[in-house]
Amino acid sequence: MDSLVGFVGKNYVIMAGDTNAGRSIMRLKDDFDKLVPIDSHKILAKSGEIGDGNQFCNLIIRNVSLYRIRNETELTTKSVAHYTRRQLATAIRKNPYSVNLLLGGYDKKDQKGSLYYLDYLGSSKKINYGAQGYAALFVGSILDRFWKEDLDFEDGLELMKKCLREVEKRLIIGTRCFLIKMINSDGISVVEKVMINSEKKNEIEEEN
Amino acid sequence: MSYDRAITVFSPDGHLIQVEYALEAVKKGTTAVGVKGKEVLVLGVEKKSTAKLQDPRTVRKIVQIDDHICMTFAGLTADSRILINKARFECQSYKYYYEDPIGVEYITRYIAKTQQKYTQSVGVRPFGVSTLIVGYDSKGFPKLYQTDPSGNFSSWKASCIGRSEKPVKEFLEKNYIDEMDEEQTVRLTIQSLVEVVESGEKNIDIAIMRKNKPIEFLGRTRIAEIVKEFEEEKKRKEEED
Repeated sequence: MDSLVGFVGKNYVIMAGDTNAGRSIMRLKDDFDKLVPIDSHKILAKSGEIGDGNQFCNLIIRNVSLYRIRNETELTTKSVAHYTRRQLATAIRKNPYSVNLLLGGYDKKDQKGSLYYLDYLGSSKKINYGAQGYAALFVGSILDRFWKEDLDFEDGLELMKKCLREVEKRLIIGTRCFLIKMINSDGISVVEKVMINSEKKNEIEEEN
Repeated sequence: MSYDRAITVFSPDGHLIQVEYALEAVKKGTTAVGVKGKEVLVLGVEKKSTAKLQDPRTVRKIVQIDDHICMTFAGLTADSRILINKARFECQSYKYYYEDPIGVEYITRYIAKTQQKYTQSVGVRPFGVSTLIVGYDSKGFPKLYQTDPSGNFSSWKASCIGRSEKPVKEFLEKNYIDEMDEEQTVRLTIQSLVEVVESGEKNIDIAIMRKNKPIEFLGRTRIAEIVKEFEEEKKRKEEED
């Protein structure tokens, strides 16, 4: 099951997703990138059905591109969130997309990052920090406690790793590998691909 | 019965009169030139002189169809808007299905197909637009295509559409050399337009399409510089004679 985490910092948005793709008990892929770039400054982090996620993200990317070519200007994160939500909302009673999303983006006009929580029923909410998937069960309380407005990038990265460590520790399914991306005024950059090893594993190694 | 009214039907001597009238409409439009260099594509357009109170920025003749494809047109601007919109949609649609960016010939074929459809459909008239489409093909070669209201399309080394088509084409045929570099291609484009455009360089727009780079519109000052160089060269030649 997917884990997606994201929060807004000082002039950036940091997002992380696990890199597992699986079917029932089998891990099919361990380098699956769930943080899809919509345009130069926006990421759609997808969780849920892989096929639905692919199709839906493709649809959003192509329509955002079409808007950009037609109007010679990029959509704001807010607009993309609204558009995405509308697509999900019209689909839910016809041909639902089983995807839950985190949309993170940086708007040059406001020079601010923003994060949106969207789910398959067509709900949408602008958030400062949040998660999708199993991560949401564990990460919510950590971010409630430690997230502050305008975190520097180094502090933000530390906080993100704290969240991911917690997910790795508490989730019975071995998630281990996460991909962290950051969006700022320069665009999207891959921060790190982290392999989290919990403390327990270290103990076992010491015994041997 | 008059064979040129309302719908597109064959005349007794095998002409599609409406399509030919559409070509006449194109000949009334402002000039557009496209020139292919060794590794560059240049589009030049004659801008219609805007009224005093009109905002000149809203009149754009060179448009982007996709990140790697540009086009310009001659003829009815409103008709061109429809074609451009359809083309833009098709580019994204192609990428949606095939993940690859669309090919220049593919989109040209699509635009030409659309123009042809309107010469063989009920209750519609042909588009009064000829287009010049530029982009790089999958092998990385620059390509320039032209379409016209009949739905024909072809690839060109250099072409011109619009009101000064004849004199500019003659000029291009005389002065075009294969494998020109960027500077030469830009100069040839400007030179071909400067002769025929009223009120000179203020009404010329030049756009350069380089491989894997976004389209660049040449600045006003640079165009003015190049035009000045031509005029000085011309004067020198006259003085020598």
